[in-house]
Amino acid sequence: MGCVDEGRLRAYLDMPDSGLAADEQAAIAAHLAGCTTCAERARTLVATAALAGTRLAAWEPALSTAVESQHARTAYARFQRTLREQEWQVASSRAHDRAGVSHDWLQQAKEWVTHMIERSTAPGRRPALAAVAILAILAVALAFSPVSSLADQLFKTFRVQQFQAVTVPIKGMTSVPMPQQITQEQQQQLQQMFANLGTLQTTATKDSFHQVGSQADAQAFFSQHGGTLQAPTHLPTGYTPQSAQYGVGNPTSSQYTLNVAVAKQYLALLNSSELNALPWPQGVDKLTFGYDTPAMVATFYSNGSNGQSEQGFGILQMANTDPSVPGAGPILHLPAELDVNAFRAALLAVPNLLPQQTMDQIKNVSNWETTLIIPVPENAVTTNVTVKGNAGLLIVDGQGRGSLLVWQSGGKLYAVGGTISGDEAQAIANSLTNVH
Amino acid sequence: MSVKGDAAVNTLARGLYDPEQATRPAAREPETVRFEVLFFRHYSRVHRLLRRLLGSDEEAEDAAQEVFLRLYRQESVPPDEAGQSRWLLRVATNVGLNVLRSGRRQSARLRRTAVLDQADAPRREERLDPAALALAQEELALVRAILDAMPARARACLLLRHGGMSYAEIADALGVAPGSVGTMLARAEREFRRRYDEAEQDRSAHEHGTERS
Repeated sequence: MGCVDEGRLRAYLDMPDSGLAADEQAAIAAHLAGCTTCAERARTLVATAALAGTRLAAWEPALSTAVESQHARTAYARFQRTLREQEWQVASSRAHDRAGVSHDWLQQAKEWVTHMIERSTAPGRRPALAAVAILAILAVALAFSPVSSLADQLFKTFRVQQFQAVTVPIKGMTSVPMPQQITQEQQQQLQQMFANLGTLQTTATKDSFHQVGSQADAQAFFSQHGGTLQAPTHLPTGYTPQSAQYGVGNPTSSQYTLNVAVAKQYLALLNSSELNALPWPQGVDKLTFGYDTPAMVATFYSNGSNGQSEQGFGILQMANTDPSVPGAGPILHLPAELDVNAFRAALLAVPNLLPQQTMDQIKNVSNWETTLIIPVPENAVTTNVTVKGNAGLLIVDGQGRGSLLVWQSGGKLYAVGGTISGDEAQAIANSLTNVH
Repeated sequence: MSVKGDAAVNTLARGLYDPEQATRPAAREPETVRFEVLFFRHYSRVHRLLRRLLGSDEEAEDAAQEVFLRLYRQESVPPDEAGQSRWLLRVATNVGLNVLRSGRRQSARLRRTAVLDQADAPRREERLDPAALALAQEELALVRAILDAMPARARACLLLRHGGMSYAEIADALGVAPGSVGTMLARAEREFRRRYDEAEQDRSAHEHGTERS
């Protein structure tokens, strides 16, 4: 072999750490034995490496095992602090988005529909829920909504008077089988039609919900919108009034206008007798669904840290949109042309629209027109409770992560929730008094 | 929205408006324990590597935090310990190189005391008289100056090898072919030696000059 290049020669000197193959090692050894130039180069490399090694020996004084494990513990504590801060920033921006825009049920319905369309048209997949996609808006509007039949000139207006939990097995919801197989061509048609299905307009922006500096600011905002701010006189151990932070939400208004002809075409593709029998109003091209949220104030309390995760809870209060009518906002407006009762009954008769268990629960809701159906996960425990004489619903997470209590009083919707027990949520709720 | 208390709004929002979210475990919950295991399994090694690379406890600790944050954010972590080690080695080296290259470091360095010198001081004091200690400090300052003047990758290659890493590990850490580690190392050692010899000459010339005056 010819003379050895410097890199290989250096590697040769560092056997076995350099991982040179045995045959290469042997070849280099043989070459060095007969080549004085390379042998001299090797000696220089050894001397240079030795000098670096000697001088670098003092570079990194060893730490004792005890010091190292102390280091690791300190570092872990610091790591958790950093992580919490970062997670909160992320959670904060998510909460912000959700509070500002996704509060809107119709918006959410649209997202769900989009999601379902994407799923149903994914290649190599059994088309999932394409039929339900178009109906999601209606399902949300009719089944998952605050409803109370108070008809006015243009809309049937619905507000919340009571609450009922409906168990939603999410797995079931995303794998509901199609009424039947549809072809690829039909899928493309569906996609095109979906774009023309309807339009959403909303006054909600990502800034609709924002933070204010003090209780006084929150109170001023709330009274501008006809609300009276309440604050708890009872706080769970470890919480102080000083930890309170305030967020306010502007009133928002959204409208979804559905193109009836497109909806019918879409459903016709699916050859489902139940879907084709939906009682659409005669001679109506467009149906407009409205959804209004009143002004709201959210108060957040945190107790710092318990070493693992931040603990906290929030109190949500909504202003009264119209004191002359019973029930509390948010308000849903359904088109007057639509026979809501008949449509709801027809929707609930569609097989596989929602998981059977969920469908059955929705069918069994008494006074559905005034009941806000709250989808809860399967493992949550729900109890009917009273808060200062008003009916409320307490939802306690099955894994003990927290609880949520919702109730309405005098046309105002309230919620208390967070990493607190159900008892604490009730104690806080019962202690709410007007801020002066 | 600000940081604190969003657990509450999240819980509210999860329960009220996002049933799918509500069924999902809170982010990372099930993995927290596993991550803690990973942290304690690998922290010392990562910290040692960075301490060696950077020559400062403070900087090594900051950089190690960054490494584990990246691990935490990683979508998939290698299931086996060897895979985890390799991943961490690579990321730690990259983070270390970034620190070495950052301009921020250059100015911060001037203000910072030589942490390693302090860490080592008690041990050396036991066996060295003050004059010898002063000499050792001077020697360490010289090595630091030489390393700081070298390109970051050459410095890393040199320090990693003389810290006991194999060529394969170094190749992995620096993202180069194993076959090129020898070349990099030989060059880095030669440069180190050249700078060291120059400094020695300066020093002896300086001492010589001092004696004469």
